[in-house]
Amino acid sequence: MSLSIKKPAINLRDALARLATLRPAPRYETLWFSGDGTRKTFVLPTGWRTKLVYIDGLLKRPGSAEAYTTSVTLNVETIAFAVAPGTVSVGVYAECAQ
Amino acid sequence: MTVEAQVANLVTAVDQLTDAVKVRKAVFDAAVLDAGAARDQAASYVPQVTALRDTAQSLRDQTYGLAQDVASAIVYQNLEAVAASKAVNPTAICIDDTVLPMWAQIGKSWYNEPLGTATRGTRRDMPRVKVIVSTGAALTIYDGDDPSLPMWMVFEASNSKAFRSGANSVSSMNGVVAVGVDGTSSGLLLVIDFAADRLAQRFAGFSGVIPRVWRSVSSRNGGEFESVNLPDIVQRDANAVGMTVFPGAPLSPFSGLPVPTIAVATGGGVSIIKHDGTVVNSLTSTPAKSVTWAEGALVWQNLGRYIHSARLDELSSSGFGAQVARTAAAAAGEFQMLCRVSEMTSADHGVAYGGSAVDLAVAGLCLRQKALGTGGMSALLTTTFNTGWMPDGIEGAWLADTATATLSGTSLVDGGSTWEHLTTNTGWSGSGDTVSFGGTGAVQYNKYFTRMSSVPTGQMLKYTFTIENLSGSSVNVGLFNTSSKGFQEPQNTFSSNGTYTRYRAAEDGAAVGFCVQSNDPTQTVTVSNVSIELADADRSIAANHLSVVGTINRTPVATGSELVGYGGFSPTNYLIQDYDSDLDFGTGDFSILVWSKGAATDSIVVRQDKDASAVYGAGNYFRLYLVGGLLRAFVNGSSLTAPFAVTTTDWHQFAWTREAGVSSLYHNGVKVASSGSLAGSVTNANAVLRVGVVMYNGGFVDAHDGALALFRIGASALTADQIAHAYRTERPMFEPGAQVTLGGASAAVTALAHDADTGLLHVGTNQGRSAFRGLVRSEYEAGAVTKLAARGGMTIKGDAA
Repeated sequence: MSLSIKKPAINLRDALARLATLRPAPRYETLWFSGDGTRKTFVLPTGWRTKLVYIDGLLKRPGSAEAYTTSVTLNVETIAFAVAPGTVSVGVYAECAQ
Repeated sequence: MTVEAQVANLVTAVDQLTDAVKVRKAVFDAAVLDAGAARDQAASYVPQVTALRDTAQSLRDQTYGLAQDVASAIVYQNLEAVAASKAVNPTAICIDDTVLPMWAQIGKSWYNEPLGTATRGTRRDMPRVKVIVSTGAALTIYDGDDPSLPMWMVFEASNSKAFRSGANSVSSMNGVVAVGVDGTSSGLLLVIDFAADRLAQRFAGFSGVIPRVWRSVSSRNGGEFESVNLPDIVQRDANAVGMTVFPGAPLSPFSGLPVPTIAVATGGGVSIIKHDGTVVNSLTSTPAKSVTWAEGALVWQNLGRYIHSARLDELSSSGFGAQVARTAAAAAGEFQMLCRVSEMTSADHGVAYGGSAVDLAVAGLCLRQKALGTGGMSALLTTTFNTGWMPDGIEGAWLADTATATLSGTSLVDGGSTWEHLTTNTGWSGSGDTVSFGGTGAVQYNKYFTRMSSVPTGQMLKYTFTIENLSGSSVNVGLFNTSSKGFQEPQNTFSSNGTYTRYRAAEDGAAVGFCVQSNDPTQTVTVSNVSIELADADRSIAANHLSVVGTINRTPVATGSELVGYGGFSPTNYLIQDYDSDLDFGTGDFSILVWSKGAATDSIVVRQDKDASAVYGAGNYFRLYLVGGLLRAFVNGSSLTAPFAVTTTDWHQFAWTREAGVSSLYHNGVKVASSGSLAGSVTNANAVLRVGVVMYNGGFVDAHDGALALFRIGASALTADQIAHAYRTERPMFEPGAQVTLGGASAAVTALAHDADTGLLHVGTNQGRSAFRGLVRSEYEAGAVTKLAARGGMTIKGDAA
């Protein structure tokens, strides 16, 4: 019987390079809004960017000929739906890199 | 004033000016002399200053050179790899990289010990990385900061010392080491607290042995202990220990670090020593063999068959824990284990179980996504397959293999094989797919068998036969190992006429046979319509295997990958399962997961009438398929369609869950459609399950044009998070070169270790060490493994060398 101990070599250059490039991890959260059947635009908090949009649990496609488009003014993003969501929950899976 | 008076004044002024000039001159003369002296002195220092300047220049050059050397070392060299070995026979090993602050070390008895002795290394402070190894003779802590791993401290084994005998489990964190020693008469739990400078032995009961406390770590190898009345653990036979830090645990006044909580698996159940030293015990007193902390829960196993767990907030003094799994048929509120557990450890997002094949269990590695109760997912990995994630209530896990051999539904018996006597006997006649015994034999229990062409070892075989004209006692009929000359399975006794279908994996692919054994020399029996076909194994505990119609091809899902995709579907080539009541979900919950790569319109799976002469048939049905690139689910005429098409050039994971009547479709881990309109019953006693094709209006259509893999059905609804997790961890299985099975030829797991820093799960067998990231193997090292520990990229392996 014997005991073998192993640990891979550490490339200091790579390790230092990785440390130098570390950035705070972006935050991901689901932001919730309430549709009312008439409201077509929804404004995200400052710095947040849309990743996915769900209406009543269903994923929607982005694009000018699709369910919604997004625009950013002064770091504030607005989602504009082609058709106003009904009185259901609008979930926006969003990223904040700040 | 007269002219004379003015002249006299001028003369006087001139005289005064002259005197002043003289005085100033004298001052100047003195200054000149001083300056001359200073100049001479300065001149005398010039050589020294010059020498010093040259020395400084030299030192600067040396410093620059050294700086260059350092930079060169950093840029071009690595920190040296650790590759050490110790000629010891480890009974337990552990790596601890938690750091005890220096202020908690200085002044302690062990800090001030003489260095360089047989029980103390040459380093005074506690290493950051501590490699702790128990043998029968000692508990040794090695300095893991040093690539040569020198000894740092030794606890000698002796009945009169703190470490009494070889431990079978060691755990360490935050300056506290817990050591478990088994044995009903000599077992104990030793707790070493370096910051408090104290060692304590914990027993069960004070009958003859009083718990002992050593007031200093430096006295560990002496007999200067005190007898202290410490709370009992439930039993002294300590089989395993595990430590964790509860959220909000108090800080130790001796170290400033959170006080860990210790769990010890004993012969009488599990005890937990809380941060305040009090002890609480599990509700069950069944001997516990291993224990781990995972996902906010304590998990332990007993007898290899049963898994218990308890939430951290349930650890009350009145007892804790509930059984959550077993390898036999699971009861309500439990899930079914797939292997007889011998090893367990925490793993990313759950628990990893390793075990051997006992009874119905399969040898292999079982990854469990949820530590507590049901509603989770499990994956089974062996040396030949990887199921991917199976939902609880699993009823089938198919198309999970690494073998590339074509599956053919043609009987291996067809063509007329030669039948043979095992021992010379009379009364038998055999030809083609029929064999008869006329009751004229002389020997009881004589066998008559035929050999098949070779198949891959482990290949699932479906065999069917008809027993006729049976008289006398029972006969034994079944797959036969022509090498060992024995039946493959024990459950092969038949006592009545009839047609039978059985499944069994080939235990020796080069020696597959079929045998009939007469149990009465005077009986008569005819076994006809003997057929042995290849089948696709159900890797789940349900063992609902798929039959092959025609021929199905299997090719790697990517270049060099182990996992294979099943293809070649057509109206005459597909997979089918006869009616199986397990799939009669009624209006209840279920989940389907499958990977597909194919054309825009492909049938994936359908459960429908066996003979669907009109549309999908008269009975209830469900179907999952692609139409125009859109994923669509059907239940009895109600459909749900995903809103956008998928590509035909990539592998996609599709999932369909139905929970409380609401169906949801997922594509690559993301929910894409949901509806409550598919709530109808899917129970159908005339149904079969077809994979790769659908019967519509009496004909087979929409054959899958590409390949399918990892097809699973379970009687529970996975959550969106679980499906997203399944996608993230299964996706790498479809990358080029992906290895997805245990390395080596044995799947019996002998050791497990999870490195929380690297995320790797190390799995040991008597063949070698495999390291997994998720469901994919990233390393394999040959050589038998008996013990494993891993931390911070460091691995320790005990072997039988």
